[in-house]
Amino acid sequence: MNILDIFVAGRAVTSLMLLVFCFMLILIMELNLREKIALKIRRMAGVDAIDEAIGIAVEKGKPVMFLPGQGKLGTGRSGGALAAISTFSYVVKTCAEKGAKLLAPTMLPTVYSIMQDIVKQAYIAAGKREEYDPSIVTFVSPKMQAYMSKVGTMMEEERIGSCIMFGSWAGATLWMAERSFEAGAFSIGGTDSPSTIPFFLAVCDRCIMGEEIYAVGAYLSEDKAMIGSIGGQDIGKIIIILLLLIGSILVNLGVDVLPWFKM
Amino acid sequence: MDKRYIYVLLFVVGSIPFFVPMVLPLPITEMTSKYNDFIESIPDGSIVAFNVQIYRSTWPMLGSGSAVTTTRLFEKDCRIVFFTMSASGVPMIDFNVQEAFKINPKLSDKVYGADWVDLGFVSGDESGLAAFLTNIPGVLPTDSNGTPLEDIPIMKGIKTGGDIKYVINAAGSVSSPPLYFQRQWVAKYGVKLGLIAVKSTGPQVTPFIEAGEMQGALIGTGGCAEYEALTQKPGPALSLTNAGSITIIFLMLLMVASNINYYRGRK
Amino acid sequence: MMSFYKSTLPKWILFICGIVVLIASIFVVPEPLKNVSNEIQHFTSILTSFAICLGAVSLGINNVKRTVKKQSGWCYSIVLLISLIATIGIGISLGRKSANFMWIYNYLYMPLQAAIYSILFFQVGTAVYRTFIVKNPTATVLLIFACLTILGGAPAITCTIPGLTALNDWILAVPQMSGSRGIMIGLGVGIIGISVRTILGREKAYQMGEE
Repeated sequence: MNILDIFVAGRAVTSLMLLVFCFMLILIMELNLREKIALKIRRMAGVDAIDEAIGIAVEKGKPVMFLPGQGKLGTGRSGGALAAISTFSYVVKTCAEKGAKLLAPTMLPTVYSIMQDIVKQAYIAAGKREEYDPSIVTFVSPKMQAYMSKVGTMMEEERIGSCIMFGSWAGATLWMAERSFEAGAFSIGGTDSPSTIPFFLAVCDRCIMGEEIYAVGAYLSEDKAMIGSIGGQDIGKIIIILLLLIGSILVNLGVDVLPWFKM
Repeated sequence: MDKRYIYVLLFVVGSIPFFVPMVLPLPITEMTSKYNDFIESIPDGSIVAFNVQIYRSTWPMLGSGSAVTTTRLFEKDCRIVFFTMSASGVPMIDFNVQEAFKINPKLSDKVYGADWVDLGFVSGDESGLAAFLTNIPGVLPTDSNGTPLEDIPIMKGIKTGGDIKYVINAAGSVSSPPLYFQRQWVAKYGVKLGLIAVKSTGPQVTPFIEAGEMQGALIGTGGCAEYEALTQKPGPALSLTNAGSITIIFLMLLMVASNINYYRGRK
Repeated sequence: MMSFYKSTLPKWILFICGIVVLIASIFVVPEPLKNVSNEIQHFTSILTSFAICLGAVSLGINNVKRTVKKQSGWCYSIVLLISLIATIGIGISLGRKSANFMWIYNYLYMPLQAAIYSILFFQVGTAVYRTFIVKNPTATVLLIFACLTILGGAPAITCTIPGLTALNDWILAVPQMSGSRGIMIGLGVGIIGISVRTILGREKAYQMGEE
């Protein structure tokens, strides 16, 4: 019996690669969690940008607006949502410490519940329980157009000083970025969606793109499991690069590698 | 420059083609050619799954591509299983079919249940699609009218995603549907996939077309207009590309003006 | 005891469901396990439908609170609540294919959606005006490629400049695609990482709010 027969037909090699990658990821994550290794993420420009945004808003005496994106938890875009939640935790803590007003309208009920709890805990942890305001996080609408209209209006009415748009974004990208510019706010755009990265890159003052938002989320959360996982992912990417190079050389030598991956 | 001047000029420029009709030649891009080749390569009489996820707001952009594709499939006597991954897309399935009948009135004798069926809304995005494809009658035991699937002739023998060989995904939003259809349907069941999507999804989709994971795509109004021209079924997309052309020329002039303003301000 | 129900039990449910679906997708498994995996996946459809209801309920509750407390924009909340109740009521009582429901969809919902979406047309103009300026080498490269790609979408230009369509196709097929592929590979790896953390109960974000 061939060892590959235990896998679903046509997916044996890719499944094996996935299992090896997952095993390596878990190993590095657990080693970091148990402090057998000490992985560190370098401080990224994205983190400096977030601090800069909050600083600008505090200087101007205007609110900070945090928009957690359109990624739903439990879907393929939950990565962006989770990164947004981790980053939001840091933003709330910093705003609570610096006394900056924070506004966080959301369009997803599941993310809304988590963010509300984060705000409450952050204000209690900062010793500013009396300053905690439940209306910091508001639920607007799950519909994109309704969310866009409401948030655009909020940006102008509240005269925000900075706008941090962080998460998995879709069609509302250009609208949000333009409205924040019109409101005179310093804007940061962070998204993992390749089709919306160009909008943020072109229009925002600072842009964080692709899987960098996961790394920013891990860095700001200071969670050893997340940092270990990022380390494992980086090793995975190195392996993928090596495979790409080997594959390119083989293909150029006339070897057809595609059937190997369809075994 | 005050942004209100830009808004007014854009409005005026965008309105011109509605008052001054123009006929402009339309070069065909490679993605649209591949899409057309894919549709023409579908054997006559095949069963095709069609996700109509175009909202009314994006219908002007992509609707004609969807309607012309439906028309062409009906002309090839293909049987179409319609469904939608979005709650807002539910009424658009019937609308799409009616638009196809308007393009070719001879198709109005197509029979619901034998030539096409509307399964309605499949909730759950990617995980919902994965569940749907493992057991279609299990997730949607009836069509959108409440008729059990076993009583619908077109659905006889269709239990999983692998029982349908051809899929069209008309996705009118800037998000992940193009990719998750590839992950959950093409990669798992080996079907052939054609895509109708908004312009900004084009760059995301190119790697999959080059790799053969998707057969072709109509990207934005331009892609739909090219398909209208290829199939000789002129429609709203062709007229919209004229508005698009003039607006694009205006945007180029805006870029020049902004650079001139910037360097004049620096002096 | 509360900690068991709020923390331990959900983590175990997550772990078991995740591992079962993963194993059934990768390995050739006995039919009963495959059926269990399929049923778990079917539950996601049901849960997502409940999430839609959760959205509507949250919307209703928040707007009722805003109306009662007369916070800013409370009159719009009344309009929202009336629309929400009317649409749901008509949809449930008369059916979604009824003339009344379709009237709401065709003449209220869709025009409003189209109107908001179409405002993007004007914002593209202002974005183009302030973004594409030759300030530095990076901005110049952005401007050149943006111009070529935008012009490629204008038939009036592509039919007068020979080779522009082919150049556009090349830009999409070569430089753009390599960047896209790189980003997508990174995202794919990132999603695997998040999934592994979630299944193993190491994802902290889901647990926020427990302490």
